[in-house]
Amino acid sequence: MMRGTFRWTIFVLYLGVVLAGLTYFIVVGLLRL
Amino acid sequence: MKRFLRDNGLSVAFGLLFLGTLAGQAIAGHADYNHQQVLEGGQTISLPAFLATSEFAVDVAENWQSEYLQFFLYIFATVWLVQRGSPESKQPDEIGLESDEKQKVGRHATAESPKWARAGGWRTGLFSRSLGLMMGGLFLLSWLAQSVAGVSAYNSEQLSQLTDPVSWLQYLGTADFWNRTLQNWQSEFLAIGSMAVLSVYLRQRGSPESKPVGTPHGATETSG
Repeated sequence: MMRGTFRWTIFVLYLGVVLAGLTYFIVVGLLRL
Repeated sequence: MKRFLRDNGLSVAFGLLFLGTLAGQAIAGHADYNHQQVLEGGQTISLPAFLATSEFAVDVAENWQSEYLQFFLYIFATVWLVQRGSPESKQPDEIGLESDEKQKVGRHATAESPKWARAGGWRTGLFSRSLGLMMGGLFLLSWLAQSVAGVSAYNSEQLSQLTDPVSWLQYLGTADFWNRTLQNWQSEFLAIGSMAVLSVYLRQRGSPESKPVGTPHGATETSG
């Protein structure tokens, strides 16, 4: 159970970092338009 | 902890490499940006300020989009295209979506199968394409981010040279946008093709990306 939780945490972490990064880049671009 | 690292070595190692190299890109990009500013008689900026520039954003986003495009295309293309002899490919007689039995969906799902593999209907349909859809979605989002940050960086360059800024739609037709896009795409396609072809005749003992060392060159889909 714990091992599955760790795997899920890493999955969410990867997706979260990518989506947060892309949102940040779009906001940076829009604010400077 | 030791067991956690052993079980998740790939994701932890590449996650740390990503953060380290992104930090490196930020530091080198900042130095380069300030160097250009000095040459052009402009003002230098701090590292935190550089991280909020569209120049940094577009440089990161243009690389992200091409990587996600690479994986999206690879995942999707390997359903329909094969390479005889490549461990990255399936057998030529398995081209297509394959049977429900082989894919363990619907009534062929096992007790350990994910719930949506058994559910049937739209849930199984969606789950059956979730990896490709996610990679494709991240590609489109990254490409959008590249274009939005790109037009902003392009316009600040235009304004510094006292030329007219362009709209986002106009930017999509500029050489800058397509140069950034295609220079990344060509390298991804070369890398995918190289992997499919070189792995036919070359081996890496112990790697699941390679065939077992003693496997014949003509054998397809046998990772070792």
